[in-house]
Amino acid sequence: MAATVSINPASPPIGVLLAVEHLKDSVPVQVQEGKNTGLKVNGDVTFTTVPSICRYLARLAPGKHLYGSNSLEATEVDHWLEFSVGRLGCPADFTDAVQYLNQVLGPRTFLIGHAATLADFAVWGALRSNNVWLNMLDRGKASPHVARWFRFLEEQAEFKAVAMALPAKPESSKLETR
Amino acid sequence: QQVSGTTAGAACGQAQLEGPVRDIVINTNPSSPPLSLFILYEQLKQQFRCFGSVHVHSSVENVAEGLCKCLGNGIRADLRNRTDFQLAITLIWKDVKPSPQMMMSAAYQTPIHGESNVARYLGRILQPSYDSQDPVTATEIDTWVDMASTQVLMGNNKERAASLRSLNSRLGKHDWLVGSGLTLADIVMWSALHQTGQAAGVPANVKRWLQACNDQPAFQPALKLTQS
Repeated sequence: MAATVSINPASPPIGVLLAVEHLKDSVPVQVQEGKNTGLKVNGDVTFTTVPSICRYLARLAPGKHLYGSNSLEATEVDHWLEFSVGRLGCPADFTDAVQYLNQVLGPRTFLIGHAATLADFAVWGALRSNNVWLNMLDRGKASPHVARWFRFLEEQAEFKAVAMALPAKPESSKLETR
Repeated sequence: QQVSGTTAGAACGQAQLEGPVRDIVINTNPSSPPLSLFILYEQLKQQFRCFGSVHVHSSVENVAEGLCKCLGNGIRADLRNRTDFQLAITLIWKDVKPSPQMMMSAAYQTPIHGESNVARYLGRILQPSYDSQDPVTATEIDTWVDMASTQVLMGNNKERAASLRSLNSRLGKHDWLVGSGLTLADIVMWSALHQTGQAAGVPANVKRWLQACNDQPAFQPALKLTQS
């Protein structure tokens, strides 16, 4: 039985789409357009937030290690999931949050361990849909380690696949419509 | 920087933890004590030989006596016997933000931020199969834990009111937030409501559930802290 995720194309849950793409061989998920983001598990339970849907999908395929490979890494994933919707999602905290992220990414390729996890998916997705960040990136004013990490991930297969389905970055789409 | 402290241990529990002592250091701000930590510590003591110590960093003053003794129950343990314990938790009252911050002494990791995530880690020690056993239940629990953290603890009045409505609705049909018994969801939500001063004056269903939590043995030390 395939799960179905509904997404609103106007504000796609990028972290969820990355998880779906990454897990497509292990967890068949249909993506359909809807008014709100949601994954209905059964008559009583529907997950509606990016962290919840990501967690659920990753737990269906533990062999893919999207939730890390031990209890500490799993908790680090939780830390970043919450960061992606908490400090990073709050305009007042955004500058501090990116600075913190920059500090953590200094010596790292991925947020946790040696491969992409839900942590990278959720944080990358939150930045990719944030116009303040995209403008900083376009103008060369982005924090260097975050920018390096962001562009590196952008080149990875699942990120490319998801990016194709996304609306263009806001700045360039504005130019195109002029 | 000076740190003064007391150490105390609690010897009980039979369960196996792999490797030597698992060492956890938690820096946390006394202005908002992470009550869920004390509930989970009571549960951990039932399963493992735990060693708790509490320190006060010089960045904070006048930490209440109850907070200085919160992991100890007043039993002093001999430091020489530290290796007899399976789990060591060092709590440092300190002026940190975000609070709390958890580190493991022997791992290359990013410090874990937030009471919710510290609770998740301790929850995984209590139940190693948490993520694999039942993905739906685990994710339902995490959804409530997220709400406790981002909407109640860190949220504004509107988000808090919305959370109380969700709680009241769920608890109108069920005794506990997830499934048919106490879970991490109840522990972290209970803690968040108390820390934000919302435990008084909640709607009826939430009130009944708070009382059911208060009746749990593991909640007693945390409950005492809210009353002091």
